[in-house]
Amino acid sequence: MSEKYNAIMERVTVTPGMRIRIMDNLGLPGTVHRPTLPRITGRYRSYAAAAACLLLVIAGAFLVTRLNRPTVAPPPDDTVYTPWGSVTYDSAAELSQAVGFPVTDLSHLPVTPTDTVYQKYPDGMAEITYSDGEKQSVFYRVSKGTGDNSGDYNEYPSVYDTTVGDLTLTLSGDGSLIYKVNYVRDGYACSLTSPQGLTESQWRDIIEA
Amino acid sequence: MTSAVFDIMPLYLLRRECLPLLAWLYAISSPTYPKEENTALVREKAAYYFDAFGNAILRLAYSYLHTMDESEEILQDTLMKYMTDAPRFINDRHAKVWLLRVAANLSKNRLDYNRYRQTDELSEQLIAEEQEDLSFVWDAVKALKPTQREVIHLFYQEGYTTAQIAGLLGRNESTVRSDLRRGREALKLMLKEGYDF
Repeated sequence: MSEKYNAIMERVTVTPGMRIRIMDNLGLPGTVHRPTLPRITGRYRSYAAAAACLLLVIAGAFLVTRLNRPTVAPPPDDTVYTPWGSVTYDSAAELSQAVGFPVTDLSHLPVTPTDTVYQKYPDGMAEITYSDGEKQSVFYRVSKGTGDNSGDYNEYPSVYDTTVGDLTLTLSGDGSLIYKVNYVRDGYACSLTSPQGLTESQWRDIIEA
Repeated sequence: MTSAVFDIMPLYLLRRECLPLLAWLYAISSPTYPKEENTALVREKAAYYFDAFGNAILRLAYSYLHTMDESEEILQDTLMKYMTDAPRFINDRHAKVWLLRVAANLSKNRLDYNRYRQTDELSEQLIAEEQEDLSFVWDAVKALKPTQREVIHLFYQEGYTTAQIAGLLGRNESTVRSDLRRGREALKLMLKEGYDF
């Protein structure tokens, strides 16, 4: 019964899309999230509503009088800020320039990502998130030092080391799939995580590429 | 511990003039957690708990509600509750128990006792994958009473003992053992044979 029930429940998991939705709704660190306006509660809501209406009237009058005047559009700001100071970029090259050390895109991923996020954290860590929207996602982090920067604090039943070239990898998983890979490359701590898990050979393909 | 305190209490204490004593006894027996004042740390921890226990919370909610949309809302509401209350835990095990307790309460508040009769996404997935044996087991579990179903889930999926389940759900341990026994008997009857209980 235990095995059957667990086999059933394994199908109920937090998908990458669900994770992004919830993290974004709650404004948790690590999400691409535009700053929101502070919420007005209590007795000040009625005053805020009246002030908003008055502001609309004034703005409307202002615009009507200035319709024929040329306006200068502000320069586009492509930088997206999360509530906790992390910044997203458009490419691995931009991310590398921002963090000051090389960060390259991964290849030989087991899925074709439809959404790739390049992000620098306030402490200088670089993260690239690859997601196909629903089923599979891979998180790649690089930071100075040699510690575990994955943010994955789960205790896995299977943890072992292996080598790929001159890299020593620490693989953490459940015996069949690997959910976290840690290694040090050129003096930088690197981690690869996937909530859905990949096989060892799939991780090797990614790292060897 | 709460149930143990009241189990040994003489009945004559259950009078109006003894209410302050009862309140004091309840206070010392109920777990209370100091509040984390650092909101930035609370958010960091919320993100960590989401990654660490998100699946467990989602699965517990699904065992009650049988729809992914509502289970996702329960998961979000549970984390929101943590961010609001910001309790400070001794360790991750305590955090998980607290989160699952909140998720269970939120799920039960939303539970429609007739909903379990409708087909859910998990049933459809198992049918689509032609996993007839798993589909059969899942239909049998769904047919249990909610009080039996929650105990079955926490016992088999999370591996908690009946004492831990009682503490998590705020129920009497003997009631939990009874629900577990009856749930397993009901499952055995529905599934007839072939599964080790």
